[in-house]
Amino acid sequence: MDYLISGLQVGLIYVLLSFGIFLIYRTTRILNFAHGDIATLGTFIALTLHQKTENLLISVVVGAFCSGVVSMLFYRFIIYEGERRGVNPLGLTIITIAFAYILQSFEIVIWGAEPKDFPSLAYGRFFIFPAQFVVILLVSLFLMLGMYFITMKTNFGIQIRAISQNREASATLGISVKKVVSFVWFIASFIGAIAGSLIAPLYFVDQFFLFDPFVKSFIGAVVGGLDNPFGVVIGSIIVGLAENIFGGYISIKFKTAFVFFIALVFLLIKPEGLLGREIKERV
Amino acid sequence: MPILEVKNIETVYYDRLYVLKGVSLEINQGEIRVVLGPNGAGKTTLAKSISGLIKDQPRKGDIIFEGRSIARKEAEKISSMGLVLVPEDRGVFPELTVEENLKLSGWTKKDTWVFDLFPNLYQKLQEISNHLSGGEQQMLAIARAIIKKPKLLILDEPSLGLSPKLTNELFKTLKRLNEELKTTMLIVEQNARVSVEICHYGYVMENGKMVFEGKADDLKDNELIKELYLGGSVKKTEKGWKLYKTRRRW
Ligand SMILES: Nc1ncnc2c1ncn2[C@@H]1O[C@H](COP(=O)(O)OP(=O)(O)OP(=O)(O)O)[C@@H](O)[C@H]1O
Ligand SMILES: [Mg+2]
Repeated sequence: MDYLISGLQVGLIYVLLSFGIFLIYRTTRILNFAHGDIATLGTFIALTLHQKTENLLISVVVGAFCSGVVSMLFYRFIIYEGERRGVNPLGLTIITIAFAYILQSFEIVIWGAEPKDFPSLAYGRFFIFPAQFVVILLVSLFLMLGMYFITMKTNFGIQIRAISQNREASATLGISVKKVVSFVWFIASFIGAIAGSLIAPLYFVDQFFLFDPFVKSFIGAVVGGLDNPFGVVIGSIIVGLAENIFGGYISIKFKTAFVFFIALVFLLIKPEGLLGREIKERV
Repeated sequence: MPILEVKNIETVYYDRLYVLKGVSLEINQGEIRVVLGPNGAGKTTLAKSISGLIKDQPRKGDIIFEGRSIARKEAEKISSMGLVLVPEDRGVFPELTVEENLKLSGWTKKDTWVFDLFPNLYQKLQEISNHLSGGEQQMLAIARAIIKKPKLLILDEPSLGLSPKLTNELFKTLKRLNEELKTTMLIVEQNARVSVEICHYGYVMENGKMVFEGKADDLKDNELIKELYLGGSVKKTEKGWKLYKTRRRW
């Protein structure tokens, strides 16, 4: 039972992280290796603000907002400019790796390298459940429903989906790819940093603490199918559950290896991802 | 003053593939003009160069739209200025519904006039666009462009992949658009038969250059066009049609 809860808990965090990876992948066609590091920055900012203000909720939101802004600026002034000059997706992906390292160094300079404690939004238990689990559950449900509403029901969401399907046609309709995608990066990192602050109390915070969750979110997204948001959600939860149940009952040492193993098996059986679909084009 | 003036433009791919070798044309408010030409003449390249879809091109010459230069501007800016392209591949978003496709250009439930022109779309509003037939997708692409109330609509081979019957219907609709909504249109086509029927003025392009221009009647009388595009016998057109359908699209 405990392993189920801890599995679901990290699974939900992976959902939040992988959703950002998914959004960026769909609109920009690159894998953002700096996703975890941009989120870490927001978590650090939340930590510092909390020490100054004692108000954790506001600190977390402001930290997430800062992550969003950094992400948006990174897209607008580096990735977008690179794209415009004809850098290919592989080159752009390498730029995100470079940015990840730059952020890590920056974080060491400002916050030092020693791991820090991060406070929980809620302590104790809520009925039989750990309170932090309930917080994670509610926040991620809220964010996911919000994202569903934004992407499926609003004009902005239609624009996001249009750009992910055909950029050139979007431009011919006067949709500003630059603006829409910048905002997508903002949202992706805003949610990512919230995830960072939610999972931080379970770990110690240092400049690498989101690396492992980032990799697992990525695996979850690919296992679920990077072209389907529901696949991304389900894949991430499967990874979280598999990792913790295996780690709890069988071997904690091999839990990460096990995640890679199931990813391998899933991909061999269903290469396009669990809910991935091949888009059949009309000729 | 013409609404659009293309002045001697040159478009080059990869610095060495010279596709447009000094092309000029103009179009006045309220007109339908057509650019005819065989495969590979550079018609699509011309339409894209005007609409800003080819980066840093045209590298020479100028394009004046409503008195302002739009050469090498961003595609989305050009579109917002009122010059809207319906691309050769139609640019319908395959996984969006018909309604969502329309909404992207600002359609609301109140805009029922669109279905007056394109009645098929009304029943299919909630359908995923990828499930529409080729003809319906073309209608959707044109409807979507028209909702933007363009000052100039450029259509790149609207007849592509449509049966002769559908092509006739489509061109009738285009004529209605021009008459009822006063939409100015530049049509890039291979199908001379239908386009000379509705256009006011036309150009013939070959190998990146305009080789002929004139009023609709001049086009109809021109021996070259008769021979190349209008075809002498039915047999010839059938063959041409086949070729036309099987050619590679990219
Ligand atoms: N993106 C591109 N990159 C390189 N070469 C291109 C590109 N687009 C077009 N060309 C070349 O430019 C030439 C003209 O192509 P274009 O598509 O403009 O012709 P077209 O008149 O539209 O032909 P069609 O009737 O087949 O559509 C062709 O020889 C083609 O190989
Ligand atoms: Mg063409």
